[in-house]
Amino acid sequence: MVQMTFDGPLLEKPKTLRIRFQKTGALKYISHLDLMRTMTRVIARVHLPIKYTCGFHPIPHLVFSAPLPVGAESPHEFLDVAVLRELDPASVVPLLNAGLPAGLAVDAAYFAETKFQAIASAEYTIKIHTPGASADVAKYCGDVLSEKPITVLKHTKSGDKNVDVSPAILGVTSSFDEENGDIVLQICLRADSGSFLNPDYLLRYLSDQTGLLKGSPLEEWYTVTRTHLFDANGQDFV
Amino acid sequence: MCINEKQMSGILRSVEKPGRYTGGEFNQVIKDKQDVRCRFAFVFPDVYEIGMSNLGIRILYHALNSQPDIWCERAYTPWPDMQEKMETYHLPMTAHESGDPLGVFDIVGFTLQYELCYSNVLRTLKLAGIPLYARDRGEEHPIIIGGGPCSYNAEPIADFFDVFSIGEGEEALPEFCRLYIEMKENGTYTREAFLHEIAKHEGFYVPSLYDVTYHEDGTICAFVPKYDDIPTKIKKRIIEDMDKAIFPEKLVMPYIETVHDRVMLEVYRGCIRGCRFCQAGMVYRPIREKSPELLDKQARCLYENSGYDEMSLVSLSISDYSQLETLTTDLLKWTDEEKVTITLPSLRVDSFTESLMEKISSVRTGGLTFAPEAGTQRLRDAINKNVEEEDLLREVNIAFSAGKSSVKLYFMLGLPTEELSDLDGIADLADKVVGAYFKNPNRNRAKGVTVTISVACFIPKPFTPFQWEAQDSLEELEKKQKYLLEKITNRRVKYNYHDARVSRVESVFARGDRRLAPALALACEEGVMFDSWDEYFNYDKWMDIFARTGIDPAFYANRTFGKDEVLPWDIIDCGVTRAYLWRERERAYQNQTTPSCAEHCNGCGANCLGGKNKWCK
Repeated sequence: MVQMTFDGPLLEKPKTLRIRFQKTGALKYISHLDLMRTMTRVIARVHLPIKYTCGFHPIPHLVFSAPLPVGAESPHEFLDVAVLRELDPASVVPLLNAGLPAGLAVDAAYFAETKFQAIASAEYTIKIHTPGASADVAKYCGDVLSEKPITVLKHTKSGDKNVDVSPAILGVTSSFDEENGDIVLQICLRADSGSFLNPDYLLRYLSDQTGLLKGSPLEEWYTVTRTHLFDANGQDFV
Repeated sequence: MCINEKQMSGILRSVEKPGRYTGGEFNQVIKDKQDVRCRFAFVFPDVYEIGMSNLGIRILYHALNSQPDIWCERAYTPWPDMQEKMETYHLPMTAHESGDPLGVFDIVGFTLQYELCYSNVLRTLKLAGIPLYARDRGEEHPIIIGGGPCSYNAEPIADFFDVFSIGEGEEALPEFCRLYIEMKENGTYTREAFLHEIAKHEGFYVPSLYDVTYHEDGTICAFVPKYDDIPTKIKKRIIEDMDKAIFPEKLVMPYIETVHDRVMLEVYRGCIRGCRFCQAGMVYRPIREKSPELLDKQARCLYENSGYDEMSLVSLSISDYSQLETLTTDLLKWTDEEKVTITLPSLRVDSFTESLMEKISSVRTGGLTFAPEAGTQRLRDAINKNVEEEDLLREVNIAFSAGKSSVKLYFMLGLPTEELSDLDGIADLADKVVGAYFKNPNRNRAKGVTVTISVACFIPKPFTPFQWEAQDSLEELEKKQKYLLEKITNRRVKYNYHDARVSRVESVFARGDRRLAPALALACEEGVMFDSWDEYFNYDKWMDIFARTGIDPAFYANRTFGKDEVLPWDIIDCGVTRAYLWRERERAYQNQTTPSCAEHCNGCGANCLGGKNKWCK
C-alpha cells in the first residue's frame, strides 16, 4: 500500500476536491448508500484530511453527482469532498486506487471549479439483446420512445402516480449492432435536480409497449451505461 | 450450467440486494488455482449480511488463506428469491471468490452458529447438488466438515456431515487440510481412509465411525467406536496463548450493509461467570485473555486497513476483562482523533463502573443494555447470575445521570425453579428502573424514559448445569408470556417476547440425537429453510414433519434427562466435567450461587485443556 501523509498547512477555507471515478463490473450493483459507505472508508484509510459533519457522531461530508441507477455502469462519476489542508490533488489518485476495487477506479482528482447544479443532462447507451432483433425492431424502439406522451408509473413521496415523462427526454437515437445482434439506443435525459429522469422508467415503458425483455434473462438481456454528463451548454461536465 | 455475465445481470437485477451475490469485495483473497493444492469453501448457512458479520469466519478465512497452497473461499445461503432463480435457470450454488460451484471443492465447511440454521445447511447442500447424507457421497464429492457452537451437540445433523471440528479451529483446520493434501499426494487417499486418519487427530469427530445404540425407553445406551485406534471421547481444541493466535489484519470489506459492519476486536475467550443456562460460558472455557498492548496494536491495524468508524470490543462479558481500564485508556488516545466510536456490548451490571460510563459516553453509544435474566434475587441466585437489584439500580442511575434515557433489560422465562412470583419480579424491576429515572435529579428532562424488557424463553443447552432440565411445555410458556403481559401496566415499559414455538423447535435440536436426521431430510425435501427468520419459520410444518418421521418433540424438549443417562453430546469432551455441571445443578435447586473464576476456582475441569490464563489453578 502507498504510504503518505497529508501534513500540508491548514487552509483558511476548505476547498472542494472533485474525485472522478468509474462504476463498472460487479460494482454496478451496489446502491448509492453502499457507494457512500465504501468511499467513506477508503477516505478514512488514506487519512485524507476532509471536513466531517459536526455533532455527536462525526461523519465525512461526501457529495455525489447525479444518481446512477443500480445496475448501470458509468465511466465518469463525480464525488466532492471538502479538504481542510493544502495538498496536491493528483497525489490522492494512487492512494485511493490502492484501496478500491477495479470497478471503482479513480481516474482524476482536482479542485472543482463548477458546482453539481451545473449538470443539466445525461446521456445513456442502452443495449438490448433479444432474439429476432433487427434494424427494423431497433427503429421501432426508437420511435416508441420518441412518442408523446410517455406515461409511466412513478414512485413519489405522495404515492404512485402516472406521470408523462416525455418533457425530460431530450433526444433518442436508435441503431442496430449487426455484429452482436444488439439494439442500441442512445438517450439523452434531463439530469438537473428536480427534473432528473431515471432511464429504468423508459426501459420498463419500452418493455411494456413492445413486449421486449419479458422473457428469460438467459435469452434476453440489456446493459445501461451512462456515457456523459453535460452542462447547460451541452459541454461535458468537469 | 454456465451463463455469461450479461445473462447473470438480468437475474441479479431481478433479486433483492444483488450485492449479496456479486462478491469482489476489497481484501477478498484470490489465488492462482495452479498454486493451490486444497480448495476449501467456507459456508455460513444464512444470508450474506449475517454471515459477513461473523468474527469466527473472519479469523478462519485468514488462518486458511495464510497457507499459500490452501485457498479458502466464502459462500452464503442465497435468499429464497435468488434460490428460485437458481432453480428456474439451473444455476449451481457457487463460492464468492471464484464463482466455481461448491461441488468442485475439495472441502466444504459449514459453521453451525445456531440450531435453526440446520435446514439451511441441507438446503445449501441441495442447491450445490451434493448428496445430503454422508453415506451417499462418493469419491467425487467434497468432504463436508462442520464446526462452531452447535458442533458441541452435532448429533441431529451428524448423518449429513463427514466430520466435525470440535473447539477452536484456527490451528485445527489448516492441519485438516494438510492431512488431506498429504494423503492425496502420496496416493493413500480414499474418503474412508482419510476420515479414519483424521479421527485419530485431536478435536475431530467423524460420526460415521461411532455406532449409537439405544435402550428400549429411547434413551442412548452407548457410543461404540468402530475402530480401536480412535478416541472414545473427542476432546475440543483450544488456542493456548491468545497473544500468539493468528489474527486477520485485513478484513474483507462488504459493499452492502451487514449486521455487524465494524471492527470486531476479540479481547478474550471464555468467561469467568458461571451462569447456569449459558452454553457459551461453559464451552469456551478456560479463560484466555489478550494483553492490552497487543489489543491496542491490533485495533489500530484493523482500523488502518478497514477505515471502519466503529469498533466493538468483543467477548462474552467485556467488563470482566481484567485490564479493561488500561485497554480503553490506550484506545481512546487515538480513537477520538480518528473519529472512531468504541462500543462495548455485553456489560454486566455488577462491574459496570462510573469511569467506564464516562469513557463510553465520550463516544457514541445507543441505549444501554443490561441482562438481569430473572426478576427476583431468589431466581437470579438459582441461575447464578450474580447481580443484585441495587447493582442494577446504581448502574441505571449512572446511565441516567449521563443523559441516557433508554434502557433495555434482558430476561428469560421458563427457567428451572421459576414460579409466578419470579415473573412478578420482572414487572417490578422494570417499574423500579422507571422510578429511578424520575428520582434522578440529573436526568435528561428533555426526553421521557423508555425501559424495554426483552423476554426470551429458556432453552436447555448441552454442556450447561441445566442440560438435564425440561423446557416448559409450549402451553406453559405461552401462559407465562400472557401472565407477564398483564402484569406490565407501566406505559413507559415496553415488553417484547420471543415466539415460544421457535424456542421449542430450537430446544428439540439443541438436545436432539441422530434419530432427528430423517426429520431434517424430510424438511429439506419439503422446502423448509431460513427457520431463524420469522417470515419463514413454520411451527405447524415442523410438528407435521416430526409426526411423519415418528419423532416426539417432547422427548427432547420437555423431558427431564436422567442424572446417569448417556447424553447425545457425551461423545464430546469440552473440558468442563459432567460432575461439575451436576454439582452446579444441585446448587441451583438450593438457590446457592457459585463465585466467579476470578474469586475462586470451582474446579470445573477446563484447566485440563491447558492454555495460558490468569485464573485456572
